[in-house]
Amino acid sequence: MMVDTLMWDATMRFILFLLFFGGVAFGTALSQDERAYLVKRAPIALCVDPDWEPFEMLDKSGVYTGIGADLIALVQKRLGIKLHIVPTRTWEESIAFSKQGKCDVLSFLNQTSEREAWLSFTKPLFSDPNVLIGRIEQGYIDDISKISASVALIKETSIYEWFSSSFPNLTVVPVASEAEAFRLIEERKADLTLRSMIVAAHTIKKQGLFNLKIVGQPKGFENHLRMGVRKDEPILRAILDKAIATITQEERQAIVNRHVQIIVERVTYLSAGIWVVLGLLVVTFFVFLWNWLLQKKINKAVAKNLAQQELLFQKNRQAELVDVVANISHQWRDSLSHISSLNLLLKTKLMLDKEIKSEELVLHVQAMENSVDFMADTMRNFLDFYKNTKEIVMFDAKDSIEATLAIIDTRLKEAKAVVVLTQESPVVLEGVRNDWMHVWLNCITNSLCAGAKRDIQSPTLEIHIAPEGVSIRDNCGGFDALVLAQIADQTQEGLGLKMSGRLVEKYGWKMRLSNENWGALVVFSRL
Amino acid sequence: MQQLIEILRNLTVLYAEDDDAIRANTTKTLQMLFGRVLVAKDGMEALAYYVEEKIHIALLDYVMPCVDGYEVAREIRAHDHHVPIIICSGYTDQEKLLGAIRLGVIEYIEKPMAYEALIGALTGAVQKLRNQQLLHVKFDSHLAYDVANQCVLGGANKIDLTCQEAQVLGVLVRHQNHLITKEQLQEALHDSNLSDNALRNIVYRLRKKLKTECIVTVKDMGYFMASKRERHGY
Repeated sequence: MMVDTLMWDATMRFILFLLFFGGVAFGTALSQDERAYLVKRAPIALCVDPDWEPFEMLDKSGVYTGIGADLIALVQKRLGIKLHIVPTRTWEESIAFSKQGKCDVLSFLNQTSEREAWLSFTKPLFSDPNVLIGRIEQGYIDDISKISASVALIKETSIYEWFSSSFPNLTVVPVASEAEAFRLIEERKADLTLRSMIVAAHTIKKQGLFNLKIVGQPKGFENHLRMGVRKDEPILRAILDKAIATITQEERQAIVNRHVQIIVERVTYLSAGIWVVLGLLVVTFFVFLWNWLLQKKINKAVAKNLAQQELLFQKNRQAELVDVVANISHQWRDSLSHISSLNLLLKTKLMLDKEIKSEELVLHVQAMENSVDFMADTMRNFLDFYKNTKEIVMFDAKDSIEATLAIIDTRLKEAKAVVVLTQESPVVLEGVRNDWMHVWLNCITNSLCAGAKRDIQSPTLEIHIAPEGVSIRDNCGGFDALVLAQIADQTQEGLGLKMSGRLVEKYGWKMRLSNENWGALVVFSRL
Repeated sequence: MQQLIEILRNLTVLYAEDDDAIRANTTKTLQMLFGRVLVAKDGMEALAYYVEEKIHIALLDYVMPCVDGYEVAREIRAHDHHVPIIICSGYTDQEKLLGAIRLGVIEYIEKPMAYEALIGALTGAVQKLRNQQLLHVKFDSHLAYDVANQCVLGGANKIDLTCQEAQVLGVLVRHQNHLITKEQLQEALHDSNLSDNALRNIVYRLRKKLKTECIVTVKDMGYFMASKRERHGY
């Protein structure tokens, strides 16, 4: 019924055009020149994407079908022409043909600056949003520019071009097809892909990839699908634009309904009316489902972006670990060098038949023992730090600070840093011990970094433990005013401080940052 | 090995290392091997020694504050293409030095330094000195002491020395312009009972053989080799 009405409407419009522009033979108001051009220029060659369901495809017998096909059929009807389809096997081949001038028009594509080199674009035939697809366990992605992930994208597409150039934080994995992109995500070889909502729905449903879901809808990533016309034929683009302008939203909706419906149910004996209703229902259902999922995820994200932040904290920890491992290996190498220099001395004496006095030997053995102890200490403290425990324990604050200092001993020495650790009376902390060690490490390395940046000759850290809390003072110039302001309104970018703040909060403490005299003052006190 | 030790005993090594404990131990080791050990605790000191003194071999730690071992090596190379330079560094630094190692600019030993590695590197360094005729220490306008063969070269002539003469000349040549006491000479000759007379006799024969005024007697104190300081005058 609806289709009939539309047809009627179109026919009416056609007649109206005839009336208004007496002598106009087509459904669209073309000028004399334009009509002459179409006659002279026929047949106009069209290249399509042979495998982009449900937008467009060439079936086994070479018939062009899909949403794009139907829209282009409308365009042809409005112009009273028939485009000649040049069959290709892949989209890349279509692009190549277009570049080589083997086809005059590309059917259905996004406008990009690279493509503008040889194509001029019509007004959009069709628009739909792009969504990020990931595995079911992937958290909601708020800002694609702030995550590190691999994204599988079909090469030679506008999205591929866009992502490669705009997001250095992402690893773009080129794939040949939609199906390959989804497969890579399923196999964990890639984290995400970005696809048109309609295509994604189609593929996920068709291939039963129910472990994939929509994990984000980045802004500014709508597909505006247009026809691409070879640049040296501006008149052709103008003609196509005129025809596209006559396509109504209702017509577009009807076409989408027809195709999305097919995706969902391949029931062929239902009548056209039920098809449409069913299609609408399914689309509505999907839209609601997605909205619901999005809403759920957004709520989660709004609730302090917890999951995402946890992930970032995890990454930050890993980065810290890498640092600590570097420290450890350094400390070990130094100890080994000490031991081996003693060994070298003794061995040279033996080889040269020199006398080794027993007092001398005792000294050497003692020195070696000290080095070995230091290595063992370093290793034990590192293992404590590394242990992925979640066990909440009571422990002595001073102890945990000393353990932290031990794993960066060499670094402190190299920075010529002086650490003064004083204690009025023991303070017992409660929590995961290495969480607190991370906090101490973060504060100390922040001071060392500030000292190095500002070229402080002897950085001094005063760590004071008192019943009311722990304070860390340095002489390294303090926090930048900007950083302090950002911390005040919780917009700071550095993860270390943010993470430390969260961690101590979790255990009922608060961390206060300020500047004092020559440096920074960090005070930890109970909430 | 014995020959290597004999040669090293006549040579001066410049050793730079910033870690106190390692430096102390390695210095003692080097003192057993070399005639003279110049010890620097950083790259700046090492360069200062290089400018002041004659050195035969440089043994440098790679990681040092301010001026690292490689920079010292580059500075030395800018003035001297021949002095063997050995850089010791941790495994992870080897990559940074690969270019210099391949070009033969430096020798490399991995830290922690093992006895065999050190002896190996020193053997290589001595071989290099020998190949380039750098084991000749000039001490008078026309005379040079051949450290490897323990003889004196005067122009085209070769003047053979007895073992004792060579030992005494070696010490004097090594410490040119430094007073060498009778005790030091006794130690060098491994003979603590050597009489004053016997010592005087050795010096007398040396002066006669070499026809030189370079060996100066300081009454009741000892001897020294008086020579004009020429920085690169081997």
